[in-house]
This record gives sequence, structure tokens and C-alpha cells, in this order.
Amino acid sequence: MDSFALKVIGFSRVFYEGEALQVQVPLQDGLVGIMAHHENAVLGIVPGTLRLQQPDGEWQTAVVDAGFARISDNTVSVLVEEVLRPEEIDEERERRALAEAQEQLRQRRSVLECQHAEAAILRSLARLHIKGVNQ
Amino acid sequence: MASARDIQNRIKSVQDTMKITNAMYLISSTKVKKARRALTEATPHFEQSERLIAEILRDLPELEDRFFGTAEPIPGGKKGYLILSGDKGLAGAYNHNITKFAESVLSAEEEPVVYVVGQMGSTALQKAGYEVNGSFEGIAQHPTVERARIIAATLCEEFVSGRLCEVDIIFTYMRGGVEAIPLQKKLLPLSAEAFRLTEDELQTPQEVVYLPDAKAVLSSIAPNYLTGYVFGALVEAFCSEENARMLAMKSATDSAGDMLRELSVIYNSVRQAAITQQIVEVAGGAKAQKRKKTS
Repeated sequence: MDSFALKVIGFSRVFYEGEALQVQVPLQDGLVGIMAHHENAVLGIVPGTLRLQQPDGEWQTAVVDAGFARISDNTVSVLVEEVLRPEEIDEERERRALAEAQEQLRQRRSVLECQHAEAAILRSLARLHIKGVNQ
Repeated sequence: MASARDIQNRIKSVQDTMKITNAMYLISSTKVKKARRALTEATPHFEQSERLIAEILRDLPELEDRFFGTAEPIPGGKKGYLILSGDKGLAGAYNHNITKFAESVLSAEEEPVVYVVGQMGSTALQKAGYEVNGSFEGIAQHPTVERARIIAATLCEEFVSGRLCEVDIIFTYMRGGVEAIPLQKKLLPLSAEAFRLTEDELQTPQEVVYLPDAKAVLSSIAPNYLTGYVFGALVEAFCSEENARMLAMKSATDSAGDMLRELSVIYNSVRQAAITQQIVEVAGGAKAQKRKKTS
């Protein structure tokens, strides 16, 4: 199987940089798998689970926030706000954050606050989801 | 001339101040290290996303999107400014420089909408007669993604609603890790000129597809890029601030040392003068007694 150059970069860290066989990223309408020689594209990423397969066949899992990816000449760059390994997620904290965001959404103050709360809910759900999968 | 006791008090107070400035120097030097590390960690995302946006703008010249300044702007929008300053003083000329620079930019504007990070900046600008529309405090000391997101979302919201037609950011940038210079950069709308692409790269647009669709991608890119930029700028400003504080405290400690040296010379001469005075008095008294006995 051919490989391609992959970069997964968060605001404050480079999560992965090197060759990969496949990467799956969460989009608005579901997971999309990218393999070598994909046509050039730009993808809008939503909070969710990212999976990538290293050249040795091992899979790595990460939780990503919103961001975007670009495929160009067999090079894939994934740029997201935060990217975490499953073990880095604090389940208690995420539960609290989720409850807080849901409470904020219930109070329904302004459009901006609602959007904030919705984004926070998506983030927390994505993080809790991966915890559930691992247990 | 001051008495020996006065000088001793003065020496004591200089010593105490020196202890404080020295401690602050040590604290900010560790903070600078922390900030530098954060800066190097934040740089890859910053540079990559700048590049990606530039490429998207190149590949889609016909793109119509408010964020990219290619759609008709809503009339009546004002210019917004986000100014990054520090929450605390004692950082040399850091806060002064950035507020002076901001004032010079704002004074050219008729009705600027001002957002300030950091207490020092917002007080200074209010004093100068500007209305501060939004103030973010407690962020300058701990730049986090979460806080950058809040700032970016506020600006995006104002921009999308049409209240702002343009947003600029003003912050202190460390050139070569030594020299701190105030900088003004355009945040919104994102424009192709702002991104560095070489002539060659500009000449070769590529065919690209958008997944799931162009609208979804573009609407997520702009806020994301903005959050990234604000976060990068916050880290950059924090690094400059701590660097300025470190240098200020270092020079304060050094001049306290100089002062102590001078004061101890003065103290010694005053003490010596007092001793000489006493000896003269004793000797004079003894002589007078002697003269009395012999006469």
C-alpha cells in the first residue's frame, strides 16, 4: 500500500508528522478516510475522533476539535484547535464541562452564547465518546 | 550631611527593594522560558494555517465570502481593534510602548471599536479618552486556547453581523527573540496580500474539491484561523511582556547594587567623620584638663 506525508497539528503541539497509510477525519456528514493519491481537497473538520494508520500498520487514535485539512500532491495537513490522545482526557472534567455547556444552552441568552455552548457540547461529547469506546 | 543612622535606614530599604526586584527577576526569567516554549509549540500551527489559507485564496479567486473580503461589505461597519497589553505593571516600557502605539493608530480613526486584553492597556486607553467596548482581563498572564476562542468568537460575531467591517490586531512582537516591537496586523477580512506566497506559488493554482461542501469548509476555516492567530499573538505578547519585565527587574537589581555601593562609601565616611569628631572632642577635653592641673 502506498503511503503519503501526513501532518496533524494542534495549536500548541505537533501531534504527528511523517508517513501514513491512511487517515480518517470527522466531517460534518461523517468520517472520511483518506489514502495515498487522494485528489486535492480542502476539508472542514468537526470535533470528533481522528484515526491514522502508520506505515507499520499500527493505528493511532486522537480526539480533535474543529479545524480543517488540506490534501495537496499526496501531502495531507490536518490543522485543528486541540488534539488529544484518549489517555489525556480527564473524564470528570469533560462531564462537568458538558453539564455546564448544556446549562448555558438552556438559559438561552444570546446567539453568540448559544453557539459557544453548542460548540463546547460537541467538543465534550467527542471527548467522552472516545473514552466510552476505550472502556 | 545625613546622619549615619539615616544612611543606614536608607541602605536597609534599598536592600529590601533589591530582594523584591531580584525575586521578580527570577520569576519572570522562568516565565520567559515557559513562554518561549509555548511560542515554539504554537509556531507550526500558526505558519501552516497561514500557508493553507493563502493557498485556498489562490485556488479560489472567484470565491465569494465575507471573511475573505470578496463579498460586498455591509455598509456602516466600523473598524475594530484588538489591543494586547499586560495585566500588571513593572514591565519596563512594555505597556507604555504598546498603548502609545495603539493611541497613534486609533487617533487616525473616527469611531474605532476598541477591544483590549490586559488591565494596563484598558485603563491607559480609557484615560486617553477612548471608549473600550470589550476588555478581557486575566488572559495576558495565561494565554490558553479556550480564551483565544472566546475572543475570536466575539470578533467573528461582530464581523458577521456587520457592526465591524474590518478588524485589526495590535500586539508586541519579539523580533529575533530580543527586540520587542509593536505591530499592527489585519485580522479580518482575510486577504490574500497579507499572506506570504512567492510569485511562483501564486502562478500555479490547483484544482481542489471541498468536503463536505465549500460553504461548510470556509465557514469553519475563518474562525479557526482567527482563534489560531489570536492565540499565537497572545503567546507572542506574553513572551514580550515577561521579557520586558525580566530586563526591567534585572536593571533595577543592578542599579540597587550600584546604589548600595555608593551608600556604603558615604556611610563609612560619615561614620569616620563622627569618630574623628569624638576623638577630637576627647583629646580637646583632656588637654584642657591638663592645662588646668599645671596652672
